[in-house]
Amino acid sequence: MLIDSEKFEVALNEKGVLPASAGAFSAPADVVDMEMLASFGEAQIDGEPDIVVELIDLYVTDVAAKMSALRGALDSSDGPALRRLAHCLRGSSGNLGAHRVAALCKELEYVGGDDWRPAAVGLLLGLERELARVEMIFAAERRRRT
Amino acid sequence: MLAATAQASRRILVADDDPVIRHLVTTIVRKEGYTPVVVHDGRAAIRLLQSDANFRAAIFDMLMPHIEGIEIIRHMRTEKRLMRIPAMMITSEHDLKLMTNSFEAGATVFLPKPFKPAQLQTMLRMLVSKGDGAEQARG
Repeated sequence: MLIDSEKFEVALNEKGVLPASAGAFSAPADVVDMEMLASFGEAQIDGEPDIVVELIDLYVTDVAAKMSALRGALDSSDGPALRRLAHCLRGSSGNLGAHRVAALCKELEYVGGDDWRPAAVGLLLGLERELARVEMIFAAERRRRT
Repeated sequence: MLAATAQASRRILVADDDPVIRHLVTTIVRKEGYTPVVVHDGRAAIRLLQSDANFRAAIFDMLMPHIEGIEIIRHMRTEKRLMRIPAMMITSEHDLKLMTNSFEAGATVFLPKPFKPAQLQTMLRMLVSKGDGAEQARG
């Protein structure tokens, strides 16, 4: 069944399921801590490819795989897998300066109780939107560096 | 003999299932003049350590598939040929209890995420020097 994501989002907002941060307008600096990202230039080894570009590429590839696995875990109601994946995504996101993605992952990691799926659905939707913003900023940074 | 082997080795074991953190850690390990030996999960780390103890230090992520970093360190501290290898624990958790548990298990240093390269460099130097200091004390 196809879901109209905007209608779904409105419904989740009405039910108070979406996290408050998920729908807010975000300035780039709120989405990615660019100072944190730029700090990885300190690890650059002379003569090797730009490490920040490498980290961005690894992150974007890894996020696509993890988001797919997260959706799969949600579809199969596999709570432990969902929490494990959210934990892993939190680590790399926070380290690359995507702190709001990391915060959403942490919320997802700690969804609990018998009826955890609605909260997880809302958080996953918020995560998708926040990741779209992060990827746009990373793409711009990548273009600037190459 | 053990001391000479440990100090001469430039190899550092890195075990992390996250490709971003793994790349960052191995790059800094190389930048510091060491050779990273990389595995992607805890089981692979244990398997490698069963046949190879020639490491100057080891860096483990806390939560990895199959076997967690803290379990690897516990295992290392029970094996005579592995107990001299200093170990760093990296984790996203900022829980004091987890830090205490890591040190009790035998971790030498503890690095919470997110971290900047300079923090990892400092921790790596501390890790290696603690390992070298322990070797010299043993004679």
